Amino acid sequence: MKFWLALKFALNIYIIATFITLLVLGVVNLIKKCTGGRKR
Amino acid sequence: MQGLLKEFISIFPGIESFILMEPKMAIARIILILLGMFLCYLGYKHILDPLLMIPMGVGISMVNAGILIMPHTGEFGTMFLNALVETPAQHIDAFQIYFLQPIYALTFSNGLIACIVFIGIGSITELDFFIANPKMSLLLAIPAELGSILTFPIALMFGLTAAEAAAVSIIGGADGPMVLFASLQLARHLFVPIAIVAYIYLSIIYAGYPFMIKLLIPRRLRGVPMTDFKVTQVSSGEKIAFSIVTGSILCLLFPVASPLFASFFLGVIIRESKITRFIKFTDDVCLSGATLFLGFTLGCLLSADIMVDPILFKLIVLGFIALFLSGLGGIAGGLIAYKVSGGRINPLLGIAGVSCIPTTAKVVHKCAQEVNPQAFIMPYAMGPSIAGVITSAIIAACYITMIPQFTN
Repeated sequence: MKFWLALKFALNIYIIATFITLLVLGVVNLIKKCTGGRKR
Repeated sequence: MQGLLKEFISIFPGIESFILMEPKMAIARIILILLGMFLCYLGYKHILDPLLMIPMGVGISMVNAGILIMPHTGEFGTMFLNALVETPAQHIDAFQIYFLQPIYALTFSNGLIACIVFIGIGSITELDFFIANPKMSLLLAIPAELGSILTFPIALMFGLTAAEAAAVSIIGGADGPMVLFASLQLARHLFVPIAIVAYIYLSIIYAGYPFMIKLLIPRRLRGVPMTDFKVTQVSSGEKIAFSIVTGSILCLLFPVASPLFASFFLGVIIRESKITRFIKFTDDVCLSGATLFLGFTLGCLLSADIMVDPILFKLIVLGFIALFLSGLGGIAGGLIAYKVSGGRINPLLGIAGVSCIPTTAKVVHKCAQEVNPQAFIMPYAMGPSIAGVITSAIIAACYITMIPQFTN
């Protein structure tokens, strides 16, 4: 019981962390879009 | 005759303390003295990371050799430091006696040492590939955090409390300063054994992960040269904008971990602003000085009573599980990326997502070179490696913020 509760809690953290990681991805893409994503 | 021998031994308080203490503690001391020498040797031979293992090994050996009965308390102690002081008056007394006390009290208790290391890491971090290919970098870093997640319920099964389990799970993020910071926040009483176990394992990664790679990734896949991916140059302005915006958002979301985020992104911004004096200071002084004192002080904190504590064995097992699962997750992520990209992405990049910057990037580059000398994947591996630092910090911040809710 304790194990499954803890696993559920840890997986919730994983999901939240994934969402925040995707938010970071959004920030990078937004900055690239604003600056024109210069390539050489 | 016996009285004479006793008197002779009392001239050397270190030897006398061996005789006066419990036999199991004396044996633990001898083991630690030898362990310190061994770590020092492994560091000297570059089998383990010399930057940490040499000061840590010296600390472990010498602190356990130099135990004496302290004249002012009548208890066993050393002239290095006293981690048990609490009141301001005790702190002031301790500053006069123990030579490492100022470093411990002013930089360990509040996590400052981890933040200084993070400023240094930020100032040597090259964000080019990460910004150029953020999707690939971040998506490879997420599965490589598997150890940080799955170790938590396993640690609870080992009888650890939720906060202790979370602190040891962070080892799966493979980031030394992060482990130190998180353990100071979550389980202060265990930060010494957790940090020592973490740093020893992180040093072993260089030797251990290649075995996992060779066992789980077929040889033909390891040599994918990734020539389809161009390393585009990203402007300093983009990197600074990314650092300040992302850093501020992460601090907004997780104020408890904001010292870590602020330190890392400050280092990156200093590097990209090209302020030579600050770059020299953060690299030469901050990073080198903090790493030296981190290793040495941690070594000096490893005393025989920690060694005989049964929890140390649990931490050793859990630390291994955490890093093993993260490696496994990284490899799985790498293989999925290989399939999804139609064979364009080298699956070794998955393991670079296990943070531990730049060790994992170097490991995967070496493994790719062994199979295909034309495969220069180091710049590509730095992307997931940097993303790994960010995702590890996010998971550590989630644990620090949410553990009180789990406990309730």
